[in-house]
Amino acid sequence: MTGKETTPQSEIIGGRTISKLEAWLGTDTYRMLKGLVTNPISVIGLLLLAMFVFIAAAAPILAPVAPGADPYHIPRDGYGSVPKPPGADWTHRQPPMPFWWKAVTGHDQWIHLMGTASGQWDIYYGVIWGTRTALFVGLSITLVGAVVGIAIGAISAYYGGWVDMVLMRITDVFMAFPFMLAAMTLSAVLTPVLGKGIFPPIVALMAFGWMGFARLLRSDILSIREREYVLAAKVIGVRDSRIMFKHILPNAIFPSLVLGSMRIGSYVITFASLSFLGIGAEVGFADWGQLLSFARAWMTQLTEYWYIVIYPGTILVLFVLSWNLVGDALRDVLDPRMQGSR
Amino acid sequence: MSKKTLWSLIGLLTLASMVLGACATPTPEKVVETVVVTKEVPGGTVEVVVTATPEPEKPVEFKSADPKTLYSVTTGDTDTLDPAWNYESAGDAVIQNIYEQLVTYNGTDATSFVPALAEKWEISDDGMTYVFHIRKGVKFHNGDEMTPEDVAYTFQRGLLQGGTWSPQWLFTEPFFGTGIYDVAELVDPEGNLDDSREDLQKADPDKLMAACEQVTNAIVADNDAGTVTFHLSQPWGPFLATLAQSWGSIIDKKWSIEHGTWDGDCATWQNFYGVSSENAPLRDVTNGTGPYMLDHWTPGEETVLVANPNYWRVEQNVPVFEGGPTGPQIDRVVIKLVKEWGTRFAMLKAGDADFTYVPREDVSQVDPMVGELCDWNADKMDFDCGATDSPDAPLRLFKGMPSVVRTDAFFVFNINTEGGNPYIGSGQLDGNGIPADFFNDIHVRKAFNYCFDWDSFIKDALNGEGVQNVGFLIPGMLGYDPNGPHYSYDPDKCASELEQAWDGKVAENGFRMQIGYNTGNTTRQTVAQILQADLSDIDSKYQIEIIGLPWPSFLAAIRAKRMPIFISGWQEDIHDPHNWAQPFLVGTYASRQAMPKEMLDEFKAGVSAGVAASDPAERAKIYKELTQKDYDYAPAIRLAVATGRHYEQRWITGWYYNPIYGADSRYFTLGKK
Amino acid sequence: MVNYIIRRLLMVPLLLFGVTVLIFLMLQFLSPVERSALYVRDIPKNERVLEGVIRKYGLDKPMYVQYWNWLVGIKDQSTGKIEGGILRGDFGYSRTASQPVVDMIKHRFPATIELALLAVVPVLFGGVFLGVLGAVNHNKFIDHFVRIFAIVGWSFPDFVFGLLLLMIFYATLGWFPPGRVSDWANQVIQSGQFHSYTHMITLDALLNLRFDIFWDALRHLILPVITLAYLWWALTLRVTRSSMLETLRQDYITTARSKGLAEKVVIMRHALPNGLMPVVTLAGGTIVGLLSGVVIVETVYNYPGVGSAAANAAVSLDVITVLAFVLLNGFILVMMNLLVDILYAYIDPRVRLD
Repeated sequence: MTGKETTPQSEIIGGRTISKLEAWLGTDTYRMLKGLVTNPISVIGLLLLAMFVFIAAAAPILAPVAPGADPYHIPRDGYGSVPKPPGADWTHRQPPMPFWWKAVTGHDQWIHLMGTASGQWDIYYGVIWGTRTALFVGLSITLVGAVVGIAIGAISAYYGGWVDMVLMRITDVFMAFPFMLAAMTLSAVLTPVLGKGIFPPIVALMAFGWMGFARLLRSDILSIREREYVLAAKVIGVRDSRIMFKHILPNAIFPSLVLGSMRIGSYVITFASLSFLGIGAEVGFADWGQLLSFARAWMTQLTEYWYIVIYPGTILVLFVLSWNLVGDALRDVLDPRMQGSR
Repeated sequence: MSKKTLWSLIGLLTLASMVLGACATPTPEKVVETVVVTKEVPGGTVEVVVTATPEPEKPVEFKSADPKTLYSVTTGDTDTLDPAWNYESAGDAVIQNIYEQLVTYNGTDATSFVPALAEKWEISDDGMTYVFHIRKGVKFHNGDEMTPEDVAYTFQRGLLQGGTWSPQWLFTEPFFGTGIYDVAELVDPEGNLDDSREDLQKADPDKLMAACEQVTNAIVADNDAGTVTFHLSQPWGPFLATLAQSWGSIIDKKWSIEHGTWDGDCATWQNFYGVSSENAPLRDVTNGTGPYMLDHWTPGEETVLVANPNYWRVEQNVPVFEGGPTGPQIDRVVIKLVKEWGTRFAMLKAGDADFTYVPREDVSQVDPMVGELCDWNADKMDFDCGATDSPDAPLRLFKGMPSVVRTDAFFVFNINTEGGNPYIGSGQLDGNGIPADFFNDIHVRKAFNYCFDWDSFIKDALNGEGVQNVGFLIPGMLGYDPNGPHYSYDPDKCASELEQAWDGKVAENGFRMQIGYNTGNTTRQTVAQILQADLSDIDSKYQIEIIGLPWPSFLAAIRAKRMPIFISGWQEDIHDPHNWAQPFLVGTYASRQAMPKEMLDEFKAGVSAGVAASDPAERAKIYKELTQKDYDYAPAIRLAVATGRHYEQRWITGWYYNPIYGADSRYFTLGKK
Repeated sequence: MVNYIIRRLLMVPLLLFGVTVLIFLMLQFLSPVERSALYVRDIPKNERVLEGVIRKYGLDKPMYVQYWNWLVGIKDQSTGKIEGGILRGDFGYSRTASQPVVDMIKHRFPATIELALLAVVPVLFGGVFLGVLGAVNHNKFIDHFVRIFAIVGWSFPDFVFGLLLLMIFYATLGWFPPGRVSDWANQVIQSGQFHSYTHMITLDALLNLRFDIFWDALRHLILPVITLAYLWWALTLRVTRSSMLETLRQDYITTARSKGLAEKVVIMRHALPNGLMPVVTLAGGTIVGLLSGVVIVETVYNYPGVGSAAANAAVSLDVITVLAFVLLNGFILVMMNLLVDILYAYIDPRVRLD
């Protein structure tokens, strides 16, 4: 392991030198972060993630839209069904040309950088602004799912008895639903209420996305509760709530973190599948699944129209891949059984 | 560490290349051989450039693997096989092959008729009595012989079974007068009993009896004379056309009663009234006289027909029309239901589909597979066929034929706001919604008409294969004038109309509304998108949002008049102007639009006069006047009529086009190599 | 043990009750008019009839009344017959499948089971193989490669992958057609000579000694199975890999190695049996997961199972059908979990059921 060199600022604990950073972050967090940045798999994942965050942040520069226009509404060049290849010129309602375009390429004419999908939606705009949608969809659903799930799992494990029994049976009921179908039904039912858009499927996925967290956290808490340091804290009379928040939760939460990072990717996929089935975002909304569903009818001729699948498909796969790589590596790092195996 | 990263990267790249590699297939290189040869001629040698002589024209043979079975791959499933109830094209395609009618269309002509189950007929001078001489020696699939009684029962039972969702209104109007859409209205003209068996059973028995007798008196069988007589309430030009469709299919009385339809007694008919599509007694059983018999129907999967071995046309040697076939040439017809276009396309490519439904937005994918192109020639009412640039390609394409379907955008005059209505936003002219009577202002309706870019619609949504429609009739129809009054795309006029609308409040505050379409219907979606884009080009405060809804929600919203604009299509039942005037100006659509009474009354007068007039010139004049009124009132945006396309494998023979049947409903005229 | 099983079985109705209540809660988002579209195919034109439908099915009544009606059925005033009522085995009429829901499930469920059972084999074996491969070569190239390979499968939208396979192996090569069987085979199956014992065509064909039909049915199953397998490998791989890694670090493995046993023997004989314990749990979950995971795969390959019917129903809001599918799924899930628990207790003596 590294850390043999001691810096003047470092102090010595338990015969092992420890850096200021480690002291500030806490040993577990430090070990986790270090594991992440030293594992090649997670490094790729993190780099990819950084790229997505950059694209999302820089979207107005990368793909500017006309002032007053809704940026999440993909600009389109007419209504025809036959896709146009990358490099085709804009002919109708062209959005403003990004300032860097001329500087980089020397051309005066703004083009369809990645071609257009069936219906003449510009793929490039969809991919760029869709990154924001993907991050929003993935993060918000996972966050809500995790918070709700963790709360239910914690309450269930903490109180035990009939509370545990009732909450876990409710969890069972939600888990008995086939996930895809539950999401489809709920978002179809919600559409007349919330209006067409990304919110019905998001709410639907939230409603059916918390059970994994609840179960996981509950079983983790139950196993941690029996560990010596918790028992010791009980013996010396620390309050229950303090034990819960100070000792049990922080230790039990890491597996949920792994689950969460993996889930983010899957939600984006499920969201795309819903778009494929015609549920989900409004037509023309910047969403990768939507772009792929535009390609649905043209997937039969990929030799000619490869760009309508390859661009949105690749970015979708990379997005899911990045979260999974990070999650996978995180688990390897966190799994106490794995320690020392590297 | 760097080594590991490298390896992982290589792994990623390998995968990416696998994915990409799967998509790329080598393009065959075209080799053109040009050889220079020296040729000896008397008096010296000359160099001659010889281009490789094409092989002697060897016509490519198109042979299917299974010439005895026809595979039709469709997207719409049959709803019911009861001919009196079915009112959509998927069921038609099956019923038309199992059942037959008294008269049938004369080949490709949608307006002239030849005898079928009737040998001949006479029409009285006043045009109100039709006498049909029923053919003898025709047997149903179960062996029963067809009699005039069967014929009379067919129509009586259809009328008495009723149903405002069924095609029966096409018969109630000629038999009982315009404006009567259901037999229950003979008991209660207000229509309060329509579709409700429960309420009808509570009605006055004398009135019920009288209504039934009105039906049995209108349709009278004479077994000895071998005739059936129809007494109409008024002259009805399109009556033969109405008889020739699937709802005129003759059923077997004895067999039908055994299966639970009306027992023939006027005292009990109310107990058989008001079925729904799923519990109609003849929903999944059939017994016709036609060329094919039902083998099985597995809802959601397939329908299989087998040839009728005792078909009367073969036995009596009566071709279906002059020069037409007499009996089925293919033993077995498999109609498969495949909703996914990619899958259908793959089946067409593999030769497992003899024909299939190709959505208009996907035609450019199929066109490279076309080796023979047949263009519609309007003068000779037939196709001109020729080879394409790739004469060995496996498909034949028929195109350019006039179609009898149109999609329009309808304004709703009085939008239902009960319990809140998200489609009209705030419900006020505050820039964030529209009032419920927004479209009552003629300037708004005109503005929307000026703000629709027909050229984009025809070029992009219809692939350029269509013409803008003038008025509510379709091109080629009696009374249709291609140079008649119509709107065209004009942003300036649109802007100025909007400025005049609602005393300038519209232009001042703008508006916001939602237009719905049923998910999966690309044409409707595009119509909404064009309107959205063209209006926002005038000013960004004219906002239209587009929402796709599942079919039931969409339908419910239209029915409840909750959507400010709805986009819907109509396919004609019979090729007659009345079949357009009725639903568009007074019937189905007019009522869904909640048209104001004075407008409706004006239309009603014209429509009734139009169908009753017997002189074509007079009718044409009436329909022209109606078209002018339709233009003045602008109750809808009349869009465009597209021309049709039909793809088939080149081993198929005998396909012909009659617009009334749509693409593929008469399998027994087809052959297969 | 028997006690435990009985107690678990008693939970089944409770769970199914919960599932139905949840679905009814979802339906409350719809207006009565929209809800009437769930019961009748055509919304009547006549306002009064519409009211009649709403009245008849009690759609304007409180939720518990509607729920009760749905459970025990409604007495038709005019005929005196009871309609509906799932407790009477009447699940209603599926609008999208154009037949009673029970008939639809009877007809289509064997197809889905056949697909799921066939897919379980490659999912588990492929995943276990990859997992062991990864664990044995921990952190070497093969490990990374195998993991990324599986994660890419997990990340691939199944509809894209499915359509790609269809284009290559059917439209271009003509090997594996969509659907369930060819028409000629279907004719044989529907004729009198072929006995449908299980309605799973591959099995029935073997029992009838019709190897041509067996092959034909298998040809139709290969692409859906591959699609499902590639999608699910990531999961099996993950579980196998971490379980194997843990097992490989156990003392007895070290002992076995130090005894000089060949690495292959150590892994196959000693590590694998223990390392595969969690896979048993996973197997049950996989079958359940596959049953609901077939929704999109069946749609793409036009495979006539309950999944494609359910997808169709959900898209057009045919809740009656969705409801039945969810109930069926919940039932299978509970039974499968029970089976796994019992199996687990049987193979691992340390686990006690109480």
